[in-house]
Amino acid sequence: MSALAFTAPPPSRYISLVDRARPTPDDDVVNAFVNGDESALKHLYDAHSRLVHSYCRRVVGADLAADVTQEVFIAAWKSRDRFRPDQGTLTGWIMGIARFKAIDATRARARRPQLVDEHAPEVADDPTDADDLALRMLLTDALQHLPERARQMVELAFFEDLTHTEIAERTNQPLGTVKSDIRRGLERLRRNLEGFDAARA
Amino acid sequence: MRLELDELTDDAAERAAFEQIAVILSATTPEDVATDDPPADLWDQIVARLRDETATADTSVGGGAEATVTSLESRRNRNLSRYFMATAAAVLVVVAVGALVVNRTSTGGTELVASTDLGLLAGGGAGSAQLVQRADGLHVVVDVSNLSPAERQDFYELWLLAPDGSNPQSLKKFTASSGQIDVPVPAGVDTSSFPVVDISEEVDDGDTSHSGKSILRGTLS
Repeated sequence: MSALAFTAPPPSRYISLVDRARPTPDDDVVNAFVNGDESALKHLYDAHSRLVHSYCRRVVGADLAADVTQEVFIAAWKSRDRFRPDQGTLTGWIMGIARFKAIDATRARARRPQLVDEHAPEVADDPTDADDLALRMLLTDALQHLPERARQMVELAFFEDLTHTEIAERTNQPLGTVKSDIRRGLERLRRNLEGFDAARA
Repeated sequence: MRLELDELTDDAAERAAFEQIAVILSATTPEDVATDDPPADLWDQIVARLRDETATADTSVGGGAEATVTSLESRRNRNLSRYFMATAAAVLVVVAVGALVVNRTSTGGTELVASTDLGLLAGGGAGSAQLVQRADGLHVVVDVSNLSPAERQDFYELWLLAPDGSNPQSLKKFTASSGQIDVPVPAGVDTSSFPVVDISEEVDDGDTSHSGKSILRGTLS
């Protein structure tokens, strides 16, 4: 992997600007949701509506984004029995649902005769694009919700091209801490991808 | 991008997942940060729709007069229906109370987080800024009076800056020399990292970056 030369974007400039105030649903809320506790849906909506809506806007366009967002949360509620906390994060799972709903809406739009299409979707109605975008937005979001130190180290490794040793020097942490933080951070991101994949099942 | 995955894991599946993460993150752009809240009434719409659907389900259950066994699903639906009706009632109460408070103090549902007077740097005018927390998030509310530019100007622009005055984040363009500007803080902007409120004069030259010509400035605290 280290041989792969990625063009590193400058995300530390913008990613660190992201509002980290969003509460990450804790295990209690997730369990309550799965068990059909309706108040948990409100928690999930508060925690994810910005992410879902932002994604929908980019796939289906601003005019349909709110409608599709609504579909996503209704679908999440109705299919809550199918969510398995051991198969990934709820955030990933909800984004997996969002991907389906956004692609559905794009196809439905394509079937409708258009008058003047002033609000053309910003993303082509290509499921691969919608997929890639969902994963990018999901991981961008998930990265922001890592514990602060782990987030910082993952960003230094990914975006600033630092070695673990350099990160240890930069953050004044032992090398072992750097490795374990990065590994735990990546494992957490992986759980989001797993949740996303679980929504396809 | 440098990833020393060999140092992190021996597990092939985990390694593959980490590589996938690296590929995805390396393709991210600033646009991939979620910044778009849905319309404020969307949650109410979701509540209303679920309530309608469950009410319909209840009707169909009740319609079968001989049905003496209530299915788990219908019971759940009824609970849901009750919940959402209760929620809707609670929302109405909150709205009613909120309206009263707003009428009385005009600050209902709004919490002052920080404020500052805006000092004059160039041109003319005066102003003050508040950072307020509302139900839908943080807003910057700026009052300005008698703004006048130091040089030729097409519009003014409200910014948030880092403490050292760098990295301007555009909030709003405006033209009125007196009045109130009320804008939500963009989701991507952490006001603790961007506490400086700045008003600049701008020329409509296609360059959307800060002109470097600030008229008023103050640090929220």
